[in-house]
Amino acid sequence: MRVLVVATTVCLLAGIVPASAQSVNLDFTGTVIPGCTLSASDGGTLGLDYSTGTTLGSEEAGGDAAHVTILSIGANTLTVGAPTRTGQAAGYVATGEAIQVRYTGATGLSSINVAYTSSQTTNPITTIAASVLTVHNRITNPNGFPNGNYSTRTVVTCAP
Amino acid sequence: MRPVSRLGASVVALAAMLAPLPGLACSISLPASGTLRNSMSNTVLGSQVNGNTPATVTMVLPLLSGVTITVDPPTLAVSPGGYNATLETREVAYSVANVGIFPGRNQAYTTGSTSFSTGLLGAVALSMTVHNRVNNPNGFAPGTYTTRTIVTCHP
Repeated sequence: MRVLVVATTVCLLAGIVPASAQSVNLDFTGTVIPGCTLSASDGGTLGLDYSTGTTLGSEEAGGDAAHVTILSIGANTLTVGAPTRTGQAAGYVATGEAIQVRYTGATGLSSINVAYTSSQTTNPITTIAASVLTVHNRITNPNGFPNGNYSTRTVVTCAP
Repeated sequence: MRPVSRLGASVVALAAMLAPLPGLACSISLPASGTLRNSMSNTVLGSQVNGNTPATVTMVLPLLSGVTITVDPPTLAVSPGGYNATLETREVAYSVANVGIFPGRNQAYTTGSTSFSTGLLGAVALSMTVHNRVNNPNGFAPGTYTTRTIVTCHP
């Protein structure tokens, strides 16, 4: 009897009882809002094709592409407008000119690769991480380009 | 024989009062859930992105009982249709403040399960701050996301 009492006492004092593990779920919740943003754009540079003198473009010597970073969340449409000439040298003859745009995407836009066109183009896009679109412009004119400054503009938009 | 029995009964009664009850080995309560936000690049969704909104949990340890606390990596319990989880990774980080002889614990973001022992402590309440984040180079489709981390207290 004494042995039983002492053994029970020792076990209880030592806390030797069948305690169970306790768990809790910690939940974190957040909502991602749909939308599309354009950022970190930089303009390009036009260079002259001195071999013919009839092409002024961002892929000629001395030229450089423009870039824009696009972040899309959900279904959106990326629209690249037809380029326009916004500046030219005195004496420039615009008759017969063609103003064109070409663009390619990287990362989430890697499926986009549009050849030179004078028209507005659209591209459906879905959720992508921030991705860069590279845009080229060029003017071709059989009349050539008098010396001076020229500029073109392409409007890029992204909307649901 | 009778004095011995009275002494034994007294000791048993005292021990029963001092001994931890099975259901109270470690008590866990949840004061607050966490909140997730997406990064500007939409490649990270986390409770430390554009703010600081952790979940917090309190564990009450019984007198003189060391326990082991395990924190599991988060699961994605809820995600919207159209979400591409192919390249995602889910991580958890946490911290526990020092209390008495317990030195505290800081765990950087990890994708694995981690655990630590409290050692023998007096009856104390440990407060744990927990963060979750999900990384995905494909971005996060619009909608509601919920991650879940299980915290377990083992006697």
